[in-house]
Amino acid sequence: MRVIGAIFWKELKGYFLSPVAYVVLTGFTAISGWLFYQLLNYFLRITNIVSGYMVKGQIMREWTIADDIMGPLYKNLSLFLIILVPGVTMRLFSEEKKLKTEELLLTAPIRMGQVVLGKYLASVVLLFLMLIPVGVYMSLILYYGSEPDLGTVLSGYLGLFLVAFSLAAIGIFASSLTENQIIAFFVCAVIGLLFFSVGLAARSVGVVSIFSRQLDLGELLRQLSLFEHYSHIVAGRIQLTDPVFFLLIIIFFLFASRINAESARWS
Amino acid sequence: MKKFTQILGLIGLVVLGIGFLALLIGQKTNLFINAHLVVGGGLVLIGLLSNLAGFLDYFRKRAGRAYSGAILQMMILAVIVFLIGLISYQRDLMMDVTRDRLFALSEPTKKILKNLPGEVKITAYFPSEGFDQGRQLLKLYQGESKKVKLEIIDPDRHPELAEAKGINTYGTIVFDYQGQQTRITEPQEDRITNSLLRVSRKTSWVIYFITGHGEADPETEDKGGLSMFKKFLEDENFQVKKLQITSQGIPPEACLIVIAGPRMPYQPGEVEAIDHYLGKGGDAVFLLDPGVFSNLENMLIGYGIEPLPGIVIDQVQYLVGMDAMGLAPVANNFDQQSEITKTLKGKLAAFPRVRPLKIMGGAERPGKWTPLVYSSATSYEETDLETLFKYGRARQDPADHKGPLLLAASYQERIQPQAWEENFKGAQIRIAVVGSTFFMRNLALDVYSNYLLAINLFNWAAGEQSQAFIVPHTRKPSRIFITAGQTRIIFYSSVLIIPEILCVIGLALWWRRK
Repeated sequence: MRVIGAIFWKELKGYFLSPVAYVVLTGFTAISGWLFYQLLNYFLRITNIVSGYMVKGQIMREWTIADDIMGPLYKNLSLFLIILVPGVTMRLFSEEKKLKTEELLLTAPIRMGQVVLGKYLASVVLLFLMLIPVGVYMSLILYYGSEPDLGTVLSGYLGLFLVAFSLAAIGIFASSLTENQIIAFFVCAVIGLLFFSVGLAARSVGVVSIFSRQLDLGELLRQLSLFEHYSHIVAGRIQLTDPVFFLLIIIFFLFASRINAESARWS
Repeated sequence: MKKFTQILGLIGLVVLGIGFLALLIGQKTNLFINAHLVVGGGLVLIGLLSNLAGFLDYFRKRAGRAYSGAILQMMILAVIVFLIGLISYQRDLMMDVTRDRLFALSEPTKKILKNLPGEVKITAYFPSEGFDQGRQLLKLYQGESKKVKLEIIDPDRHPELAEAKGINTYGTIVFDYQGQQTRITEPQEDRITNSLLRVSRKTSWVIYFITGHGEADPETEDKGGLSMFKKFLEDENFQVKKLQITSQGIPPEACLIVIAGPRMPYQPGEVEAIDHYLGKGGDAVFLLDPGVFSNLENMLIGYGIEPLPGIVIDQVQYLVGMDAMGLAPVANNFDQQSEITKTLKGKLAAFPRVRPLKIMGGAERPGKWTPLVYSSATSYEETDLETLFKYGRARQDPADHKGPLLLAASYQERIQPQAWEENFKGAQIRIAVVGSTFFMRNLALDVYSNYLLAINLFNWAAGEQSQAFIVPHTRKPSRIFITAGQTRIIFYSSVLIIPEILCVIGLALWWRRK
């Protein structure tokens, strides 16, 4: 635990003593604030004109804070995270490799799992701080809104954390692959995008036969889609597979990072 | 040369991978796939064989063993993660955190599922993409009752199964109970529960449309017919029959009789037969068009409602395209307490050629009338029908009733049967009266929510509302009440001030360390 704590503090200081944390925090806060303000403004205007979403003169559904402000905000922010999280995690191992300080870690009497976990927790804390302003917007909505759907709004916020933490695990794995931070950035962004968009491919594939066994490839792809699981959480319909999916992504990529970093010890 | 064969081997791996991927998706080999598999396999073999010594040497070294071990470990990890994911997928647990329980079944549905008499097979024809909500909803039904057996068929993948059942619409759901079938095409809770209820009941439900006085015909397919509505009733598992009233009166199996716009007056004997049928707890729908005396008016006055002689004109809210005089008023004022109209909140219904109704006080009968639909405040009752239809002129006179005017109403009365009474039909009399048949004829049934109003009216009158009226869960509206000043504060703080502070701290720190 002491080792994890030491690595955690070192990495966290590293973030805040360099411009990285401030660039990320400033960028994300400005983007999320702008988006929130636009959605809020639109909501205020539209609710003054019509009482619901209309098709052919009939109200198909009423305007709600959960569906028309927080839902779109959460979904759009999750896309921004694909770009911002790799920026946070790209240096974690790549910098060590480039500055040759990795050898110190490899030869020190510590487990690689502790190193991975310490670095991961540091990035998680930065992402947590980054997402706090979204919580402020949520509180404003809950304070000024009449009858907001608290459960849905909160579960969407929780989902945003899960997306950020999953992308951080992918980012740390990407960083453990290369000493080039730019490559680590793009590898993380591409894997993140793949996980987001893989559900789209489900439309064109269906049940396939492998070794005379039927496999619903479309459903498998949907279940691999980060956006699909995240959408469930944002809508307030949390299936067991949703939190399990995010946890498995985090566990898999952290273990993969450990295995990858450990293998460098013997090369 | 060695480098060249290594590159060939790598290219072979990529080609082979693409070949396998194409095979997995396409499921059938073709020239493209075969060429990729053969060429890719060949190149991999060339690369492997010409560098075999190098490979073996690499794996004998510590680094080679470490990397291959790492890859193996990752593959094992991926399998474990996949298996855990599969187990959680099969558990299929769901938590609904929405305030309005959007993803849970309503209490009436649960009650109906609990009282199902036997196993009902539900077959849903959903394509692989879309219909997620319907899929989820049906799983809730399956989870709630062991008597519900669910099968989801993709009609694109199994067109033969869809064709065998005559399915031609995506999203069709077929309910099967002991050889009795019904189907719907809208996967919504109210429709599904209603279908479950209908398919699982044993009694035969017959709706009789009275004929012989120029009424709208349920089998006629032209604009003035009711064939579209008849089909919807059959989809709801009702039998629709025509009936000419004879000395035998109304057949005992009738669950509902419909008087749909007679053009000639009923004979006193016929009126008496209808009154007798109602008195024994029968149910009826009266659709009485304006400008026609049907001889049923006095009987209805006895029950406490008077069909007024005029016609409703609304020159502000009317159905554009039907006529320019406002003879097709559009109504959106529905009673929110009635089982018939509470699902119509925020919706519209058009009533071409409708007569107003008037609920009278001090009626002979003890039952209760519920006003269902009113026209808008801009409407009025035109009583000078001769000028209207002969010269095409309409003018609001001071004597004309002003809107809102009642267009539809329902009546309910509890009755106690006497021990000696025969053919007693039910403990309630249910009557629905609408001042128009045109709103549910083929020409206007698909306009706005006319269909919904008509089907709700018939379901209620047929005596099924106690179990079958489900209001699907929807998110209740929410609003934000802030002033322009507060909006400005939110803008400044969220878009400008917080990012500004963070930016300033970052810059100062960077400059100091530089």
